[in-house]
Amino acid sequence: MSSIRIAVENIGKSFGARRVLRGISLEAVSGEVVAVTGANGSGKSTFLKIVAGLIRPSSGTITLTVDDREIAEPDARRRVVSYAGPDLAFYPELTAQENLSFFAEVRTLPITLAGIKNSLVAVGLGGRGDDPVGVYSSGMRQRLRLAFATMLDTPLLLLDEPSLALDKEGVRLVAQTIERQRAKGGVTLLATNDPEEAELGDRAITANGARSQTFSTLIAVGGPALVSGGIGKG
Amino acid sequence: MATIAKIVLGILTGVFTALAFLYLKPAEGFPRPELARIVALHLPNAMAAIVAAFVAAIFGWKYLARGRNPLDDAKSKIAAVLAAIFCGLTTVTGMVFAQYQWGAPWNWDPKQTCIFLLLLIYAAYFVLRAGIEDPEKKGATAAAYIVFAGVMTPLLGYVIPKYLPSLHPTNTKFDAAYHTVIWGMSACLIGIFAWLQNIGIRYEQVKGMAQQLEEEMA
Amino acid sequence: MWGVREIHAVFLKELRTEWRTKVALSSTALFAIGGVTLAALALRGNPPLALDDPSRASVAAGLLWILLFFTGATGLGRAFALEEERGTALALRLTARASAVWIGKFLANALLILGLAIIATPMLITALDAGRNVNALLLTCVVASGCIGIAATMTFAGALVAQASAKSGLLATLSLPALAPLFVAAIHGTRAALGVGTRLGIAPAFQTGMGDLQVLASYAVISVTAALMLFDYLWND
Repeated sequence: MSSIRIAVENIGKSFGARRVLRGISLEAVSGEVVAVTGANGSGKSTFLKIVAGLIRPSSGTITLTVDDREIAEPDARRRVVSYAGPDLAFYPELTAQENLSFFAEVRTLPITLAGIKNSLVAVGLGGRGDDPVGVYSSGMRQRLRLAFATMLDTPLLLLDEPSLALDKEGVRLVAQTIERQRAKGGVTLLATNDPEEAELGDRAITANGARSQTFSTLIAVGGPALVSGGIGKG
Repeated sequence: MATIAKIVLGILTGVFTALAFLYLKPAEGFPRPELARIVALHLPNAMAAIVAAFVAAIFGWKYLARGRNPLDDAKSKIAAVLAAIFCGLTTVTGMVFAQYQWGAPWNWDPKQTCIFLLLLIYAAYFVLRAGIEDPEKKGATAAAYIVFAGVMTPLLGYVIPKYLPSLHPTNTKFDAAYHTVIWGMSACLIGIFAWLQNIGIRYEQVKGMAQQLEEEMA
Repeated sequence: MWGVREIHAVFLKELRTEWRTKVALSSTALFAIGGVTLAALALRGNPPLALDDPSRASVAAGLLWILLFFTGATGLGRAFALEEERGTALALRLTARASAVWIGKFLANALLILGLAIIATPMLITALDAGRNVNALLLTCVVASGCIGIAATMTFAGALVAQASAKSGLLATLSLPALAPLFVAAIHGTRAALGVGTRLGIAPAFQTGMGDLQVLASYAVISVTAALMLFDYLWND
């Protein structure tokens, strides 16, 4: 896989006068996994969506470089970034396989039906690929999100709460996905509240949204134990 | 400087309004020549409406395509409000004219229809704005609509006259004095538009600052 | 560069999801048929209206486009509204280019409104007995080009309405003023196709309707171009 470098500088986001994110910076290169931690409402998900190009930042810059070429155009960025998060939804009246085939087609991925079936098998949905997504349980939907993100096979993988609603085996699947991305030489940004999951990252950054004061009060009350897990091992 | 400009604008507007009543001769060839002088207010309002409509579309485009600066959205929105007001004044003065010259306030004349559809566009624009919460989405969506409508309306001006019979006078009946007053009045109204636009923008800026302050205090 | 494969994928996806629920299809079809029924009830009551041929044709032409407009407004907004409501817009924005999304949805919408027009037009004309001097070829051309313009404007306006929280009626409100030039030409052209203003055998209907077809064609081209350009900015936000 190609070499990738992502540099985020001082990203902030306000919706009108309401500030949800302030001053996040980070740098990562091929093979790195960065955990993004922070309390509920600290702007982790917003940050990931900004990196994915789904939300426009109010301030700051993101520079994506793949093989020493800077990615600026939205169409080029779509080929570099994939995302799986709790609000990623699929067409309920289509089967899982049809959903993935459709997204592969609109992205013009060189992938066959067998390849799509394989990616479903890889997330443990092998036997359920022909069921409409509308009847899926929340855990199965989460697995489908992982299949979607890995199928796109991009140098930058963004995972927002990837273990949500997953069983033990599913949680292992998340770890595997991240390890595979690392082995391929890609970058993973992993937004999570789970201290154990944050351990998957080489290091952690903390999103520190609008309620910066509230957040620091929280730390003061909860003591260092509350946040130490979020710092990661880096 | 700004004060002087405002004073000059006020005096000029007063002068041209007085001229419209005192200097203009009744326009011969109309059923009620002395009442035809309302065109000296009607046409300038239409001009100001068109200028405002252009400003709204241009800043809409700028907001959409050039970096989503909230100030551009505010400029576009205020110009749209003013365009709607000038459209309304054009319609009202036109209806007064039509009542006395053509016998009925509304005739579905092409120009009446066009200005009415323009009013509908602004009404729809504000309904759309009201329906969207997130300020950036609101701005981008409304801008896309105002630009799209701005592209389709010239087509309206070209197509409608082909289909509807017109009652509007061709300009042969108005002498040079009319032209002077109409152009002078247009300049004044466009000046008033610029002044109101400026007030509106400053109001929006202050409102934004107040919101931000409130947010930081909370 | 036009991405035929992507457009084809979006188009097929639209048809497939619609075919499995048939919500837009059944609601708009019933709306159109109900509209024809109401028109027939209103105009064929007892005592019958004593309208001559040109008047009947003019009434039918006006009603046809009012019906097509409101039928479109009930069904064509779904293409984008559903993506936002169900959250699938996110995955689509991660994978698809603006042009592919818009063109694919526009084609599916055009197919839907054309299909409805194929049902509603002959029904309405027969119900009002307005087809005695009909020029079927001109009628087909006018209705088809008018429907393409409606589909373009409503697909674009539907993308805007999808962002709003209160959607009911908004699509009709937004698209009506933008569609006005299309309607005057389409109604005029339909009247020509039904034999108004053309003397049979002497002045062929096409001579009268050609100007209308030109307006309708330019409307379609302009609205598709403008929508494509503007949608790009909305999609790649």
